[in-house]
Amino acid sequence: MKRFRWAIALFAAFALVAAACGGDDTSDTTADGGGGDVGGDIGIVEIFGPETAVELQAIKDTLAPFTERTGIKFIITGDRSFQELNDVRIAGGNPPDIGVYAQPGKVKDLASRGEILPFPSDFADTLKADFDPFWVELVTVDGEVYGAPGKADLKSLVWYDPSAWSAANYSIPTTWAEMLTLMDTMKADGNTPWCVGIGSGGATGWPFTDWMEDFMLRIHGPEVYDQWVNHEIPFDDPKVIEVGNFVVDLWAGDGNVFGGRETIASTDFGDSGLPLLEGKCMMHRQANFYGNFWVDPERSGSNADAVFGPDGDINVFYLPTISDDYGTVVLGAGTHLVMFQERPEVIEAMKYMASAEYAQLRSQFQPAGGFLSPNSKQDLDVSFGDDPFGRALGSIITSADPFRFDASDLMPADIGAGEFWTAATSITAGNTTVEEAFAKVEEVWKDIEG
Amino acid sequence: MGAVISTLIGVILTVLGFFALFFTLNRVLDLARTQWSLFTGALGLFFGLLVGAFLNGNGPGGGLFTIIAGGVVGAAVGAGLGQLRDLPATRRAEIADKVRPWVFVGPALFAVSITLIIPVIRTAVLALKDRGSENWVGLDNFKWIFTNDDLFNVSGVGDIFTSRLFIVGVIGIIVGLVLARVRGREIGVRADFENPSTLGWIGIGLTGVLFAMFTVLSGVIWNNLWWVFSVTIFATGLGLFVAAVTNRMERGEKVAKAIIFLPMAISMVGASVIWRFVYNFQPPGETQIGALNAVLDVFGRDPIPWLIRLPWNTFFLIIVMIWIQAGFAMVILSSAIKAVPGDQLEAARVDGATDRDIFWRVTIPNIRSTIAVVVTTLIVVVMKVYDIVKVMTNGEFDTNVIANEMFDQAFRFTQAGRGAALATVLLLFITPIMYINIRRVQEEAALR
Repeated sequence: MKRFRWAIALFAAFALVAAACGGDDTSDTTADGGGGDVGGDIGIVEIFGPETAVELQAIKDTLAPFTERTGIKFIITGDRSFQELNDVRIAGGNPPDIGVYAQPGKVKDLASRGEILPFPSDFADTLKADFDPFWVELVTVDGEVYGAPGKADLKSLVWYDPSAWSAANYSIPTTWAEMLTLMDTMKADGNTPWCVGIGSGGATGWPFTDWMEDFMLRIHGPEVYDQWVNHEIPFDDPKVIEVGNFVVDLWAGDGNVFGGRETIASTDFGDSGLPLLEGKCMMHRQANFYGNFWVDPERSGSNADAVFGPDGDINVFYLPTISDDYGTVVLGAGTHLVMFQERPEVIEAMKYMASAEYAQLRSQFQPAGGFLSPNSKQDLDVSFGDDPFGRALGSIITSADPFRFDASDLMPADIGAGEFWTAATSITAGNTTVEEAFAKVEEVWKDIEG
Repeated sequence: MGAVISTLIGVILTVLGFFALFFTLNRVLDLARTQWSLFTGALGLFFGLLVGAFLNGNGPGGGLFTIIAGGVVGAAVGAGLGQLRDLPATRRAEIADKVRPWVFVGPALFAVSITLIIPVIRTAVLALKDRGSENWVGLDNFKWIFTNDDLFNVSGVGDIFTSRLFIVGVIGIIVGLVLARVRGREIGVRADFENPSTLGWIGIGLTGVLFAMFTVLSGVIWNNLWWVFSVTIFATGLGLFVAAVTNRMERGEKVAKAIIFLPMAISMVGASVIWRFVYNFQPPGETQIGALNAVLDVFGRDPIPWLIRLPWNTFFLIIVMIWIQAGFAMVILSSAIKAVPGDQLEAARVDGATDRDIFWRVTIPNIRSTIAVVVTTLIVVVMKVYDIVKVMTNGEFDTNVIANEMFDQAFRFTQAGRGAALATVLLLFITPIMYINIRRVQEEAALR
């Protein structure tokens, strides 16, 4: 009988443990509604996004004064595979408080599935007043705003070396015809006009999509661009194919690109511009964030202390337009902050991160145009101080007319981050024609639309 | 910090709870001999608690109350049944003995089922649903796999007849067959297929034909099969060769084997990064920093963009896996070769067999089962290859494999159904190999 009692005691202990575990589960679920996975502590906001290294540090530095003022603390994590990882966290019922998305299409998708929450109307109104309506409309579903613009990338830029240009007596082209003449002059001088590379690890192919988007805007204008993005014209429409072939011809043209097509296909985009520093090419079309690569000691070695600007070592100009009909078209991209939990401190944090104050401060932590905000209320004097280069970029993005968002980030992920990239790599490597590749993209797009 | 500690306490309590359950059930079984109705009551309590917990989670809820009520009702029913129907002592002991093994494997079974069996079943179910796992779509996802040109494309099959590899392969097979006939006549049988040189020719011929096939067929599934075939053949062959050669070395065997084995110690991602440098391509005229192109440069040849030229770029990725796995094959096969009974080797030598004959007719038959283990292990490892492709090309330039496509579909494109269907196909490919492997081990055990 003694042994039996022992057994009963153990069993009772187990039952209690089981009950306690069950209890834990229920309390977790309630905490999810209120306190997230930070154990229900009021005043802690968890931010999860794709930013790492320098960018992550800049976010932390910019949030520090806010924490001092309000007592709201932050847990900030960044991962390059943020989107995949966060999908898993959402499916597991454990999303962060704030997520940072680079694909407005994804934000709309999350909104329609009810995973993220609409902003209170006063915050939505502030956003509409502080930003170009374009940025807010990207993340508006059924009249409700689901995202606050974070950072902006400016893509219609061409990098060049001012000293090499003045030595060769080249001037900045302002029309596409001038650009073509300039390219011919460069080739006649024995120079190579462009440096291009489309490698990017798990995202190999995206630089091609950027080129196509820039020239879609320049050849057919924003209206056709929107039709293309929204699949109102097929992906293998003659207009789309025309732009694809335009880019391929430009790249494959004799002596146009350093190393030719196979070099483009097998070079990482981060390394692809660097031969420009050695005078092996004259121009590199890449977004403002490439500024970080020019001065990255691991990549460019002795160039780490390069000065940006018209009188410096490296500068940018606006990629010229082809037709005057479409205005100063600017291609860009950017992130939106979305809200998974609606707590007062989360909304306070969101408001701060979308404010002009945040934009100005963070621009100071990421100099030389490393961070641009589309916030039109920011004071560029404060954001960029005595940094004319950053200010030039900042004013392009806040005065763009019309501005268009990166098409591949607006298309469904299967296309914009899948089939389009695959088409881009096969076309660049010369394994398929533009017509064949785009017909395949169209096939997949039709298939996912069911 | 608080969250970490409470999680830790939760984990410790759960583990302790399992031990408690385990000991308790074991004790309860002892009751069967002496206190029959208490035993049935305890069993009833156990199942009652389970039912209560299930109802709490899936039914009306009610928390602790539902669980306890379930336990009380279960205990009462169990005790009542035990009172009603008493069994003779021997029968009771029998029941206790039959149930006891299940108590002992219970925790392991539970752990395996929540980490493996239930996810497998769930994956198979998800494969029959749409991208959001909401509606049933039947076999549509599987139909998509085998009708999608990126995954399974047989349109190039006609090109095989103009492939030089194919012609070489066919010639190899013909030579092998003729040789088999000739040798067969010499020793008085119709055809001698046990001769090493006959088998060698046929093997080389078949490899040629299969390689020709893989170069003309494109798609993720064909790529995967190319991986499995190449790595299995070359890693096993290379491992066997090195094992046989080093076995006869008088000095330096250990050093040679250590060097071949070294890549095994490098992670797949590390190896991929190393080989990205080996295959690095710089424009013609520039300094080639990639090992292979640097060699070409020395001979005055133009550099080759190894990773983007179709169709052989897939094979250049495969070489990385062969480089890693040859060491594994070598170690296992080497120990098997050393275990070949010395008296057999001596007897063959006394009978005047050449070294070659001894290798093919004594050593190989002796290590046949070890070769089978190496081959099946490699097939399973290579079937699910992911890291190398992810790091080196991310599946672009037509180098994709099933596991990478599965990840893209499930997590990048949020096509849960298609991802699950690809996982299921991968599982179905591996299952027969696992089955054969297990059967063979069982047969061997029976022979002993």
